[in-house]
Amino acid sequence: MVEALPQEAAAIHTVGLTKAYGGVRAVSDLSMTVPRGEIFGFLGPNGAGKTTSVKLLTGLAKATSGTAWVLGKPAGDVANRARIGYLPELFRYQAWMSALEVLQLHCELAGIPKAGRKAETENALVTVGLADRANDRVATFSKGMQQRLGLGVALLGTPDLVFLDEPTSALDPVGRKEVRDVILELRGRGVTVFLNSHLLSEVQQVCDRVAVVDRGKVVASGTMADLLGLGEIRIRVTELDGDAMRAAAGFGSANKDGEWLTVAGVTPERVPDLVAELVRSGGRIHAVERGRKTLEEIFIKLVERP
Amino acid sequence: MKKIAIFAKLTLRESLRKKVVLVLLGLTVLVIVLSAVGMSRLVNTGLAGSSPGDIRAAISFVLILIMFAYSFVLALSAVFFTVPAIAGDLETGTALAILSRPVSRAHLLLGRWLGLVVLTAAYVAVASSAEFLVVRVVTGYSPPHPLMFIFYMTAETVVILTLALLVSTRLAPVAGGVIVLGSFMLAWMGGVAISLGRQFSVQALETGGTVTRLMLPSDGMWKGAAYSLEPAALLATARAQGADGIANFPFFSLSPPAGSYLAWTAGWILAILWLAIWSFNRREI
Repeated sequence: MVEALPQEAAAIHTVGLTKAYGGVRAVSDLSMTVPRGEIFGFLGPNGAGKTTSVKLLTGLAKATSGTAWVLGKPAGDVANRARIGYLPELFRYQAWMSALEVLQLHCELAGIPKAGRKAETENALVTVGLADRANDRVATFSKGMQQRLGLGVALLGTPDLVFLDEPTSALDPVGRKEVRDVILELRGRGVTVFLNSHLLSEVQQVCDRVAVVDRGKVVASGTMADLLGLGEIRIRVTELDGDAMRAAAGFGSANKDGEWLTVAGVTPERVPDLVAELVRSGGRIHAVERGRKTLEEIFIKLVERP
Repeated sequence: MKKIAIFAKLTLRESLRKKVVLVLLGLTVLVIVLSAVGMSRLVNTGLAGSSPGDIRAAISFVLILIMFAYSFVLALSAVFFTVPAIAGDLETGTALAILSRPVSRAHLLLGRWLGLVVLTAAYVAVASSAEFLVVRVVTGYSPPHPLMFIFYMTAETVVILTLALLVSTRLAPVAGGVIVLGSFMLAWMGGVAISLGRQFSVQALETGGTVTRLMLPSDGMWKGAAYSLEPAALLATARAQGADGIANFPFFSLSPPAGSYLAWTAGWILAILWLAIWSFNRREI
């Protein structure tokens, strides 16, 4: 069997994607792959190029150079957009329309057959908790309700890929939890979710994979487990000599700080071997624990300005 | 075409829900009522005792003046309706959600244009028919070519709104509005320049006016609208009076626009639309 090319197999695949506005590079040489069916967190400080990247992927902006494939088609392919949902960071909908009318308009724009529109709009309204406000004008909605409506709009037409750009920026903690549940439910249905956010605890709770961007460039990427350093082991050990350190280095990159030895890149099955090796070398073990960094600690370290 | 129709429908619905349309309709009714009162006074007191031919000529002339003022309001309204059409969507951010759908920017722009054209044509048809009807009831006078008038008046407004749409792809509503209204005024001044150039035999004025008329054919279309309101007797008088009479009066026209000029105007509208799509496609959003 011939393996599919990454641009065909992946939900999103970019190579050297660059967007410059005048002399300023908003996105610089962005290369990444988002597998299908995963929740992908796209992190970065303000102005890192997250929203511009989403605009490039949804075809709202044209790349200065580089290429991007979305669901196997070049980014911006008009017909392909029927399979994509998008909640923009700047979520604004026709203020003179009711929530239901906005959803109906987007059904029409997405090319959803007439017969299916009623069910689609009803589902969306229930999912985002606006069923009782369906006939109220958007102008009367709070920011949070408009963001909920935007999420409803993005979910129309059972998309294969949903871009959510800061989807909870206007929501209270309960609303945030509901959005997280919606995102997890989407993954359950095999939908790929591209989540732009700087709410790191939120990302940590739902994402399978993340990329951290700073000044237009990816500075780190991988599965959440990789990034959180779950392969890192911290051992409190005394009477450790040079031989023991060399032995530990055989398991991964080892670092000693006072009594604490940190070894990164150790798979769980090899932890007992590592401990046995240290004991054999004369080390006295007092504690063994998994490295437990929060996404926030990692993020701040990555984007910290010197 | 289906996608263009979605945006045309959206534009129509949006316009009809805005209070400004109700205000505009209310004002139109008010103007029609006032013009009926004025016409009735004119016929029964001001012109009492004049010959039927003179009365007809006077009424036709007053009607042209009323319709000129009306064309002005129409152009103004067209500008204020159109300049936020694209710029507003971009400013508020509604364009982001819309343009991420399987539609192109050309669909949005052409749909907006079509919706505004339909709205204009409907409004011109209804408002001018009502005015003509009221004048007929009050004075017994009917203009000679009412359908032709509706056509030219619509064409004049379409010229303005197409330009406003082009401007809307690049400029914020207020700046765009000022530019388009300024251009509309310049085009009207161009028409006046042609009349003055003819009256006083100043070739430079006439040439300048003609260039303006080619660059923005709104006043050229107004001349067609004015011509369609001129009864044969009035035209005959104007021709007989020669250059000393009303023939070179800015609100008057001895002949309808030539076929070639109509073709130019149609081509102009298409070219501006194409330019608007080109400009919108290159706009960063």
